[in-house]
Amino acid sequence: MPATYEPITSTTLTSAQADITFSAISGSYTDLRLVFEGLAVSAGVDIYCQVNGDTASNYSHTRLTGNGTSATSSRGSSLAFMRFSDGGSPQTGNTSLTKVDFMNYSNTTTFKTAINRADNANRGLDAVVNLWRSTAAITSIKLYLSSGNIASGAIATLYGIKAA
Amino acid sequence: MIANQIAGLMGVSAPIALTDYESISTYTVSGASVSSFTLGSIPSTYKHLQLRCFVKLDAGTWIPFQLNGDTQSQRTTHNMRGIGSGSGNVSTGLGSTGDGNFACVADVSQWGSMIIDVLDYANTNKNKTTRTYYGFDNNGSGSVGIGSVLHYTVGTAAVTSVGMDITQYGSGAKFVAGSTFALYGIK
Repeated sequence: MPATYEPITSTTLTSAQADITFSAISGSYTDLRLVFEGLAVSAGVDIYCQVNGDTASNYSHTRLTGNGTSATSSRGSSLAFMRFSDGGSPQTGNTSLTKVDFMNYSNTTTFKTAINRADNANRGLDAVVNLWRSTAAITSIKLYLSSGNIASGAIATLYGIKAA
Repeated sequence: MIANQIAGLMGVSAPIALTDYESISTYTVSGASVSSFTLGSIPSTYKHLQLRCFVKLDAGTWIPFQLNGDTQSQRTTHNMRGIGSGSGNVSTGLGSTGDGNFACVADVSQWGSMIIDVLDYANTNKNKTTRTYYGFDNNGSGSVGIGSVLHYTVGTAAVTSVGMDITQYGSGAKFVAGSTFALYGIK
């Protein structure tokens, strides 16, 4: 059988940057998986994402967060970004390991769903589902933080997964 | 292979080759909605299985996950699920019914995602467990959760089929056209 899990592109930051953006994403896969090993230059930031350059309030999410003491659930509606983390957000010196699955990302008939885990062993962890209210195929992904830069050393890799 | 063996001797993990993740089969609902599906004849040549689903229902309900056609009373489950707001917004369950015996949640309002891992599925010396991860959001409502299911009556038999049968909860809900279930093998 052919390989169906392929790296599309990967970025390792050698200096702090405002965002990591993947563009010209091929529509030839079934799902996309984004793996982000992120550090922040400042504390108390969350991982955000916009697709296809859409800055309008077309995003929403439901999240589940554990912080070592309790589990809570929250949501955000009509936002200008996807949100991937809360307890699992990156800190200065403490990495957030975030894996995001963009399901059926290239179809042009349904809104798009992304489901992710974000884990920071020093802080907490999250399970989050995001919705992008657009039927457009996803062709670009911008990863950034709620404030401040992504620190040097962060790694983001985009994979394509293809069903038979 | 040699790289893996060397890495093992050195006490470090070698990266998994990307060629070790393969598509086994895919089922897409076309035409009339369906309440169940089965992906069978699974070869035992992999280490783990992963089922990746993009689904929508014609009525919101819980969705059980089957190994070798097992039934509601033949599984136990731990789940942790959040619905975004309100009291009791985090629920857990353990048992053979209700909140303790579903693999995933999907809805009529919006397309959702489910990713299910079946670990060491071909082993004939241990009971089988599955790990679930699922969610949907509809800009003001939604559900996201993680779960672990013990399929204890499957016992030590190798898993040869996976599936979902919503009628096990007595629900009349069905997967609508376009719902896709893609099964992968991980070596």
